[in-house]
Amino acid sequence: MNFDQIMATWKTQDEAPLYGVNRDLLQLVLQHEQSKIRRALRWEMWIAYLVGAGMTAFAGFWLWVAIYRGEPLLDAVAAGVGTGAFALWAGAFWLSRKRQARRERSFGNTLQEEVRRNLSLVNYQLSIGGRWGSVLLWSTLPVGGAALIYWLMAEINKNTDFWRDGWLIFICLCSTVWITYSGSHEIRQKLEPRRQRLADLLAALSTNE
Amino acid sequence: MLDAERNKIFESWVGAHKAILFKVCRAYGANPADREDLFQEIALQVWHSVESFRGDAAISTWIYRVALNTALAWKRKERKHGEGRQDFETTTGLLISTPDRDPRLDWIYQRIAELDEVNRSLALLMLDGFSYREISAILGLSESNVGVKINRIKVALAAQLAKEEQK
Repeated sequence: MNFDQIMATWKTQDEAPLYGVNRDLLQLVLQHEQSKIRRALRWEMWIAYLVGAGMTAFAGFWLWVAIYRGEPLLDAVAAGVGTGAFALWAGAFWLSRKRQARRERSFGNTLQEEVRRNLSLVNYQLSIGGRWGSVLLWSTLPVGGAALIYWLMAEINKNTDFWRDGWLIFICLCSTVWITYSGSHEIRQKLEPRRQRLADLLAALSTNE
Repeated sequence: MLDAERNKIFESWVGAHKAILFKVCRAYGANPADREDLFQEIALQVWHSVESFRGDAAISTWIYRVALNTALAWKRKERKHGEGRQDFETTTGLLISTPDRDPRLDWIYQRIAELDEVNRSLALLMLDGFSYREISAILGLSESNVGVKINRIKVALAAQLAKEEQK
């Protein structure tokens, strides 16, 4: 090789792609990412189950109190709706997790299918905590349930001021809405680039096939 | 300058001149993990530099300048903190691998890696066809100094080539 050949060889880098994808390693990295997302989801699920079960029991207790003490029908209905709201919330989480697990199982084991599986997991995370509409859907039940229980307790105790209770419930609702909104914004900011990266990767892999 | 505007310029620069970044990373990074690390660092510095680009030089010259300065600074920092990277190396570094490469290119990079850090920059710029004047502007050396150093690099390369021929 002479100096001109060195220069010519050097120039080939500008024409040929410099880097390719190590498919085996990418597959391993994707699987590692999947297990990380699943771990995070498992935590969220257990928190939802525990809070849901605890609050259902708590609301159930107040329902029992309302019936036992012979409180007005409206109070018993409020406690019943509160109990139902929390039970429904935990149940809906359980169902959605089941559906997602079924969706994940439907993907194969090729690299593209692994990317699709990751994309589906990220979309699922977004559907739970990253989209305003779904956050509202998920948070309405527990927030509504908590508000009803608070109102019920205030009604049963009778020694509190109506306007003060109203304000407390209003502040509780507003702060919950604000916390869930900012939480969902943060999740979206974290997950949207990942979703986009996976979608780009999938498109690039499909083009290269 | 708005971030969106800066991002757009940055993306077009990196898209058009990523070969420069890869060459610099390969010349200064000893292994794939180092190269990836350096690539991130250079990309960040190029992004920061978008605002200070006044159009006095070609974009490729500007990117080369930023990339080489970053690589030299990174190399100094790496010497201080470059230990204990084995785990990282074995995982993320392999994500991007070079496809079937010309072995002659490997040979050139090996020769470049044997040079000291400033001479590595000179070799890269020389191979990419920059003039002595442009190289002196990029590296802040006098033109005559650039000429002397490049001649030495060429002589060393020729000697290596002759040795290879004899084998």
